[in-house]
Amino acid sequence: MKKTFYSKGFLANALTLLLSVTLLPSCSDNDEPDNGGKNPDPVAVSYGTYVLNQGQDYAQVEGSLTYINPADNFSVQNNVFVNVNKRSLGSTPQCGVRYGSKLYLGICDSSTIEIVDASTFKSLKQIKLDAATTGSSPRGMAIDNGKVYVTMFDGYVARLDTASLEIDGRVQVGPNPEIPAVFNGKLFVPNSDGLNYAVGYGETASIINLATFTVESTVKVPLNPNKFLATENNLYLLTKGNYLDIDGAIYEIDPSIANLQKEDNGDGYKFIAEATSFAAFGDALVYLNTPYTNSTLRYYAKYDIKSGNTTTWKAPEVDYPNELNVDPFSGDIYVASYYMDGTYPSYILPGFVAIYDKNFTFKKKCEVGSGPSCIFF
Amino acid sequence: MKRILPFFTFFYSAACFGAGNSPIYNENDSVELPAESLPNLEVLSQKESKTISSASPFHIVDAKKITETGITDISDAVKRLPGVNLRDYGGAGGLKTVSVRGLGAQHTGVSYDGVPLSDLRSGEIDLSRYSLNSVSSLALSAGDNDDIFTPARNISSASTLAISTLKNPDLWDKSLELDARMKFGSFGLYNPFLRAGYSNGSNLSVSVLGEFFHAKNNYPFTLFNGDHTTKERRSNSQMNSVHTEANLLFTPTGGSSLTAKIYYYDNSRQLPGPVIYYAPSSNEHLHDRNFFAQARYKSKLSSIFSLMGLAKFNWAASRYQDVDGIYPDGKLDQNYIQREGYASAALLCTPLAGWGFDYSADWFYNNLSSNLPTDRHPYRNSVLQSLSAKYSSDRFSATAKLLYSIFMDRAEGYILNNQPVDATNNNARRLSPSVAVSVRPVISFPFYLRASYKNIFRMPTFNELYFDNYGTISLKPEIADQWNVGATLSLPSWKFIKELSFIADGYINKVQAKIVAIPYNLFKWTMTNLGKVRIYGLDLTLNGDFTITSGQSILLDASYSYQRAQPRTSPDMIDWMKQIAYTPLNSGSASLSWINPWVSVALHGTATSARYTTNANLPSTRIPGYTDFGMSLFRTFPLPTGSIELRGDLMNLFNKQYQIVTRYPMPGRSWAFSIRYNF
Repeated sequence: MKKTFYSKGFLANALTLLLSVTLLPSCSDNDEPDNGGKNPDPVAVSYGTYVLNQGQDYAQVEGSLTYINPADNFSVQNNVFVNVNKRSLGSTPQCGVRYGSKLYLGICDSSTIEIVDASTFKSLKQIKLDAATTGSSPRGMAIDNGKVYVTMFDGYVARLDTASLEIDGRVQVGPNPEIPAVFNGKLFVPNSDGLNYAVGYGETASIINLATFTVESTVKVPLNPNKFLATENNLYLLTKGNYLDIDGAIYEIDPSIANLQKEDNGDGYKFIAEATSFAAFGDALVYLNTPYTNSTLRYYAKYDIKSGNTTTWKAPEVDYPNELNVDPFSGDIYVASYYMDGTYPSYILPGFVAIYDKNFTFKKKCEVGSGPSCIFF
Repeated sequence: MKRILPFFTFFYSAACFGAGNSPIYNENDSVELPAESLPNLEVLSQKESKTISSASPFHIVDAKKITETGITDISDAVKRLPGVNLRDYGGAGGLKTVSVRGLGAQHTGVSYDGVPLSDLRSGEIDLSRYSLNSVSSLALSAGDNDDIFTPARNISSASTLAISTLKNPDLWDKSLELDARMKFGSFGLYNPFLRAGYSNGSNLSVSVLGEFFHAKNNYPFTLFNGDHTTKERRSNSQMNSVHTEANLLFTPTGGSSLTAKIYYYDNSRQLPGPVIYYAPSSNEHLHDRNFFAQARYKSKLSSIFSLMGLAKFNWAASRYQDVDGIYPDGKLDQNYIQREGYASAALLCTPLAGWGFDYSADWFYNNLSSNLPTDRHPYRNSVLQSLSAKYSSDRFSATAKLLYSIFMDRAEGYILNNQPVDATNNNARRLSPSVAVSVRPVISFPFYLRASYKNIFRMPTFNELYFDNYGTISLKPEIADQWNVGATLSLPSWKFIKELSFIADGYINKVQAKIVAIPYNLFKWTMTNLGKVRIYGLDLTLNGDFTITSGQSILLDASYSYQRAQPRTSPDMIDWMKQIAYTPLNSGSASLSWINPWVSVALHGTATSARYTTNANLPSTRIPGYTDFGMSLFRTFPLPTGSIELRGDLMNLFNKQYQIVTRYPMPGRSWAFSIRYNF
């Protein structure tokens, strides 16, 4: 949690819980290797799997970085950042990408970006963010053409140059931008307006022209946009609904709509499925759904982009799924989960990742840190 | 120092009515009313004896003890009491709440000169708001007080901390009193205090006080981060507060008295927030304002009946601001206002020697409004009635009380997420019994055995019921059962021993329908009555006063508490039978004072064993135990008129770095110097 509120007893807990659930579902979706664009780099090689665990800072449960090595029978190394660097990763790590041989990790409540060697986990640089020059509270990342684009929860997209390791520009978006994606030379930024929840969540996305690094247009999208995801030919959006009676869903976005210069086009979005987390692999979307309106439902499916067919699958090894991603090299599906505490998920206990192959056959369960919420490769 | 004479006091909260083997009320005092405390030397000893003779655990810290044992603020006084768990966010401006015997701060009632303080939004009272300068005594009752002539509301909490303020000038002596104090300390602390009192010598006595408190609170701390250790300072931590009061005591006739108080408090403070690695300084700010006016009338109607009436109006505003671009319009600005109207009447009947009966009826109205878009403007009407009986003889005393409570809530409809939420009504009623007995097996020897039981509950707070979509309107009261058995012993004066007393209590508390937050699913948390907790513990207290020679004495006070607080909601849960978060298994305090004509010295310390920040007691969530020692030097210089008292305090003598709440470091070594002139 970024802030601890002054009524340290009840209200602090209330807001901590409230904000943490608002902040929880945030993760970068860049499962494309290195160049991050729609054409995977043919020379890209797998480095393995990285899991960011949010922790619960108010309860002294630190966030952490976990490394899973698929080449070594999915061996797990927990707390790799603190073990190597002998210092904390910071409070509430929330988003990360690998670009080439480096990891870029966004630590939301500490307002830092850690640049880490992807093999040794040694920190190469810590960038301290600030509201005045870079924006603060990183929430999501996307990579393109030598740059890492970082959304900042206070309403900016910062551009990090991977050669100089400096932030060399920012543009204003928001309110409360979430996880962006690059598509057709543009950065699509969902604006959740999540801290204005009492009045209603946001319904806009900012489209940034990466050539000029300016906001080209702000368009209307379904309620509470959370994550854009680009495949080779398509752009998708995950929304989070209102956590009450409107569930989260995946929409396919008509690229021509995305080019419109106006804010009020509500058409051109094709509903795909109700979902709370999704990823892409080849011509398929893999997703899961734990709807707010039904606390016991767990639904796992694959959507074939070309045929429009949906195949469901089962993941009985998963207790309470939080996030899902697909290894672009192997097609393995990683589902991050909380452990149950009685009949409710525990946000204190360490969680785990269940791994399935592309045919949904269970492969392995890996114990990770508390609150695994971002998986990248 | 204030003259101490046998007369009734302004306030009654530290009442010694019916204490142990004393009569129901003091027949010898012509003006004395039942249930008034008597601040004379005899009564000081009676107060001591009340801690011995009380049928339920009762501890009192009076002004003399505050001075002589080196107590530096109210939270310092409270944390030295057995069974108390103080939650302290550090520094003068840090929130401080007190939980007694593992039940949680929302079960601790706090009264100010006998009238309950309330915060229905959070259910907790922040002790950092109350200044030690104006305090004459602090009394903690676990379970019920022996007093029966009280408002029904005073028995509606599992335990009660009674703050009693300085007494008005005595009525029979026409006089003007002045008390001027100045305190300086580390981290930019200064605290001027001025009080004036006047008595017309017959039936009217008034006093006014005002104080200002400033502290930067920018104390240093060491930040440990893996192999990296850095010296840091708390920032954004400054506070400025003003506290004023006017008090009146009026006796229209010999058998009746009217006391009244007007109180205003204004505290504008920055909030440093938790220490977060690498993060920039906090921008949070809190502005609290509180006004109340209260009056109490007591009258002895006949030799059998006495009447008490009470009224209070309370207004409290709390404005929280945080500047951060993540919020809509770059700023969070929450303004909460609470109001309370309160009236109480109590009728005491003492038909036979040793017997007392009381009927008390209270009504209070509370509401809460805010500038939040989700404001529901909740209000609550509460009607509490109590019927109490007490029998007391030389050998035996027993008290039985029955409290009947009715609560009627209403919250208006509002719009959340563009959807209308209906107005709601929520009612609750409960019958709560309590009983306490005390036996003195040998009349000539002050040794008592005692046992008590109290069933009580707390209503859900407005936050728990109505906060955004997080509150749950169907919440029921959280119920607590308390059992206590104990023994007390006060040795008679003998040679150099002026006083030596021991108190031992064992207790079991059970909490049912405990209000806990559970995740309905990942994104929606809600409040439920699911929790169950069992607490058992042991409280030991030692008080000694030893005379060396005339004018020199040694005081020794020590307490130890063992507290085992087990979550017992379900064996399927990871916290099953573990230890409740932030509850130490062992804690204790001790002070040793050498009172002498030159410079008196007090050495004192508290110790607390390790705690966990989670009920699951995960190893990574352990907070190490700590010790905190302090030293005070003080001397009073008599003047032709009045006296001057000089005092120096050293806190956290060994500069131990510790935290009570994780991420909130406590101050290291610090000092304060104060000078006081009064006549």
